[in-house]
Amino acid sequence: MRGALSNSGRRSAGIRPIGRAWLTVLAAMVLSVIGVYAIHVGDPPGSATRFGLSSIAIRQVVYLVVGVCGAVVIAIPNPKLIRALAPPAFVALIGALVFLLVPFVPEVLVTPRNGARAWINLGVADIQPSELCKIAYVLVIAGYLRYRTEHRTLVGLLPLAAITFIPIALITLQPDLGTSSLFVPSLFAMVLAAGARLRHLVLIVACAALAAPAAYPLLQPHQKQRLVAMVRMVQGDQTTADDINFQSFTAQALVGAGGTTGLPAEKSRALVYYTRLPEQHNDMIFSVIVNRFGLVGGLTVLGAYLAWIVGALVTAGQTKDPFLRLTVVGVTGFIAAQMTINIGMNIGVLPIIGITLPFVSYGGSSLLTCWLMTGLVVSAGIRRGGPPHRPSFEFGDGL
Amino acid sequence: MPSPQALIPSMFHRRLALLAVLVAISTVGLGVQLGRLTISQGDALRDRAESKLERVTWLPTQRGRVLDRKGRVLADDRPSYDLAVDFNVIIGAWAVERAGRYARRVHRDAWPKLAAQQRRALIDRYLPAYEQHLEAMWETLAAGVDTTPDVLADRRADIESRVDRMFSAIVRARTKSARRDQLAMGREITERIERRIEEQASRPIAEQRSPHVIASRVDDETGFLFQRLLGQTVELMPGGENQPADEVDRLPGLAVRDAGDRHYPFDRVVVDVDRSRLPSPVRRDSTESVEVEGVAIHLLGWMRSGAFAEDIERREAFLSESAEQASTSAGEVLTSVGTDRGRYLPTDAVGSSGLERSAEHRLRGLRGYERYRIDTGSLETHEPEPGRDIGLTIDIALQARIQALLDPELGLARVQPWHGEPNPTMPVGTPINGAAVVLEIDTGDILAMVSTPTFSRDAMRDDPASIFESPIARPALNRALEVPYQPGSIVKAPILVAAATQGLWRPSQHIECTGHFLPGRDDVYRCWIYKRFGTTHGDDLSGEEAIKVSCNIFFYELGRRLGPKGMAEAYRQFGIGESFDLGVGREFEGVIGAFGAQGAPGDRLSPSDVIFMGIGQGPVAWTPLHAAEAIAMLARGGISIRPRLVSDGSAPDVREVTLDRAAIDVALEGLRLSANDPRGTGHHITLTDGTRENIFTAPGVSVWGKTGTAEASPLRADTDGDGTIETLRAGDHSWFVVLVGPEGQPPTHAVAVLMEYAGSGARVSGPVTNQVIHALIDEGYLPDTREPSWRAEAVP
Repeated sequence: MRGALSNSGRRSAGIRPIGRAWLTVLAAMVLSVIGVYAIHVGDPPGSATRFGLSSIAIRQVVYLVVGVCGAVVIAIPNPKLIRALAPPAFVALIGALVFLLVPFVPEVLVTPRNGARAWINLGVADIQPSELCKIAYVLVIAGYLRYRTEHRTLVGLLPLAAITFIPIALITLQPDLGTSSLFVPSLFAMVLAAGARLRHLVLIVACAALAAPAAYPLLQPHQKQRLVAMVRMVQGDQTTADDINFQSFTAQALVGAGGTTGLPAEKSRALVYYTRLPEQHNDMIFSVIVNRFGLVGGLTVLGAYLAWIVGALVTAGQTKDPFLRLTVVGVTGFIAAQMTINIGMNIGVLPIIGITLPFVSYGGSSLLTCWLMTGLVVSAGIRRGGPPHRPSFEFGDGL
Repeated sequence: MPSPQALIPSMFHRRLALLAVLVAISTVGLGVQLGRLTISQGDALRDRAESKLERVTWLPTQRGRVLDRKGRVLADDRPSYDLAVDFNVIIGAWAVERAGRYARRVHRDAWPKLAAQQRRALIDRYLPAYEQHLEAMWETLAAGVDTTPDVLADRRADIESRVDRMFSAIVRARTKSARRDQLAMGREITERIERRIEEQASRPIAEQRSPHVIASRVDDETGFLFQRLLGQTVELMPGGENQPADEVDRLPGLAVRDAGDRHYPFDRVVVDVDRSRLPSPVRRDSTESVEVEGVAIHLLGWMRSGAFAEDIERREAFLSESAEQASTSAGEVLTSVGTDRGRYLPTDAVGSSGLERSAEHRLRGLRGYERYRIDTGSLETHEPEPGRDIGLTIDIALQARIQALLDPELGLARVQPWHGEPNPTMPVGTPINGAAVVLEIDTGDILAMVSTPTFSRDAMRDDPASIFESPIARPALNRALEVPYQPGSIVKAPILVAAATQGLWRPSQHIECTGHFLPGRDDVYRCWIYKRFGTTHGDDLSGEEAIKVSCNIFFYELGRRLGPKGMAEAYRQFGIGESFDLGVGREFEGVIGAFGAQGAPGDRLSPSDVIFMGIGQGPVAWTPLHAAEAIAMLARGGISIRPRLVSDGSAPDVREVTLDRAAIDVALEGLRLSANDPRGTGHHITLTDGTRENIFTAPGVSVWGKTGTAEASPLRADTDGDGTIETLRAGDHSWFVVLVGPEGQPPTHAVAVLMEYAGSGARVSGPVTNQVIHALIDEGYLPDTREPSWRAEAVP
């Protein structure tokens, strides 16, 4: 009794040790460092280096510092403040997403990359509103769900679907199908954790699976081509290796070439360069890592993600603040889905869509977002919430 | 097992655990696939990735040669070159570009401040020098390839207008597809987008940036000459005090490309024919030089540029076949990374017909290659392997001689008044199409196989319609091998032997010629002599006599006795129904019974069919090669040797057919009498003035022969496309088959001659056959005891 008292008494209000979130921070750092190195390996042989790193890798180090600072900044303030700021931030980011779609915006401000209007040029740096929107979205949903029970009915899930639809639609129109496809898994994780009825979720997943073929005609030509390419690849059609499946086949060849322990750095660089792997710093960076470090390297990356996720989920389990609980689950949903889809497309089990590997891929907005998510996990780790007024998300019945 | 609720009391924690399980499952899945790629497929994938570190340069190889039986080269690869010039040089844009660049250099300081008009004036100042340089280049080129600058100017204009047409077509197509893409993405086509589409669509096409051939197939010497000139530069603008020099290529934009060409040295040959040995109406006391073209073109075939899908399929089939047969040879066919060294590249020459097609993979060599490792800089060279030579059994000089004999200019292959009754579809003077085959009896080697008309390779390239769309001449057909003909009376000797072999006729047995076969009807199944003269061959006709006079009644009777099964068996024994697989393209294998009829050959025949088939009429058809082989079988005493055209060193395919020896002797005697007895149908021809001339005029040789005048189905087609079918040719096919050998010895060669719709076997094909025998003497296959007269050489 005394132990319990001292346990909750001493730590109820103030800052607490980080808890299991240290696992998440460590994993994020490991992944970020691997990323910096893989970006370096992905550069052409003979590129100029400083401090032993190529210039683009050095830029990634700068982004990493920015990201870690961001994590600290978001972890320190009281979650109540963050919760209060989330809706206006979400609205502002939605506004930015709309702005991206407005025609006749000068290309100085919005420069399409790979055909997608996803970046706003702010002079010092380009920002990608869809990345930050992920965080705002998680915070808004977590804030919305923290004391509710409506989501335990099918009708009660509708407002959530409506909120989710807005960013998905805007991001899909950029077009950036990769980013928009991550919102649903995150929402799924949050409502699952928030105690939604499993049979509702199963029903929704089943309906979506049945309705998916009907959506095929709505896809853009290049997206249809990707799906066709995927089907032909699964059928073992090697003839597509030089055209529609070039990216996937090349990535798989590089992954396989890594073998168990990988190739020497120079060899790996030459292979990445001369196989003309597209997006070697971004979407396809996982194949560069496996090429350099082999199966061992690939499993290390997978293990690091597992550590990040486990650390985050345990942290969510330890905190009693319902907002933080769902926030952590939501960001975990983003990270897990993004990692699964990206690695899946690198090793030939999912079609190629534009999506980065969290923490590892080159890019400021992406890295900052991942570290902000890590910061939110830390925030939950150092606050276990006050004495619970009532346990959140405990509905007793069911799994 | 405890329930999840008991294990984890908090629902939230249970849900977290569920999420963790989902993540774990997908992570394990990813790990498994990762292991599959890196461990089980690792080596294969590493090879695939590493192949990208290599630059492979192919080294050209040479196609194998085709040789005749005396080792003369009938087809080989000749080095030749194409001279190509950059498009901007062709259209003269080069001069403007260079003059502009020079003007900018000279007026470097002032240039940025000049207005467009001033710049233009400066450029115009230097332009003439560059234009003159181009003019000089065209003159050099014209002189080098033996033509005038005007001809080159015409070619340049052609190229320019062709590229312009291509460009506008491509721009149209690009614009259309870009618009469609925009609309498919749901975008409106605004003015700005329209402008961008136009800009994108009018980017230069490859043809505007690449060289075009201005002189093709120039010889070695010219090729080397221009190759030497390639590196040379001239100082166009002499440097001065304040004027820099401008060095330009002596021949700007010129490229000399290897265009290795298939060459057929005997394709066009001049043959001297001694006209003093021809029948008197066409005889002259002189030697005539006959130029023949497309010699053996039906056998050699031709090449085309660029492989079709079926060629690539055939190549793959060949590869998998050779991989099954011997792993060692397949290992050489493939490079170390498994690429076929003989695979088709876009402009490769491909055997399109004849031997060039059927022996494609033996003739086609294997390229050499250089493998350059980009990352290590190592270079590995594999020498090319030329294709294998192929030897033919043909004697090209004999082939050319026989083709010359069948040239209508000489008169033998043109309808003549003395050929017999007029044929309304072929008035006097009409060229006759035909075929001739010469077989070596002991080996089955085909010494010559001629089909006329032939065609030149130039016509093939310039006017293929004249070859493939002419309804009567049909020059592309090899009439000796792929066209069905009724055999007619030339089968009488084989039928006699077959009847005796089946025990249906005794060699000593005599049969009466009754004039007409059915006692009650004198309008059907008649003997030719009854039809023409109202008489008969008498009541006591031996087998020899029956062949000599070609009595129909005798063989109607043998046909009746043989019956459907026996008749089918007889024709099968003499080779109908088997293709020879000579390897030079399509073959007609012969047919017993109506075309397309079902069932065994014997079941397709009616009793009235077999009576006609006794004289080679009715539902039976074969080719001149079948005829030569059937008659050669008699000379061999019943041994069949499969005729062959490609001599690959293998032993002849010999098959013994059990035939009645005594009957063969009777048949050979009949053939001898037919050609040598004054009453024989193959002994003489009767001219319009009633004089007779012996068909066979060569001394010192023995001839056995048989005529055939075979009723033929008319050639009908709708030539003018008006929907009505006209009869283009009607009448009888004229046949002659002979066995010939040195006097007093067994025959050494079999000859079959067919003249389409030409009527009498003796009058039309007889003189041709006689000239073939002379040709055999001229080429040394038979002893020459003739008066010394001429001995012409085949001149390429």
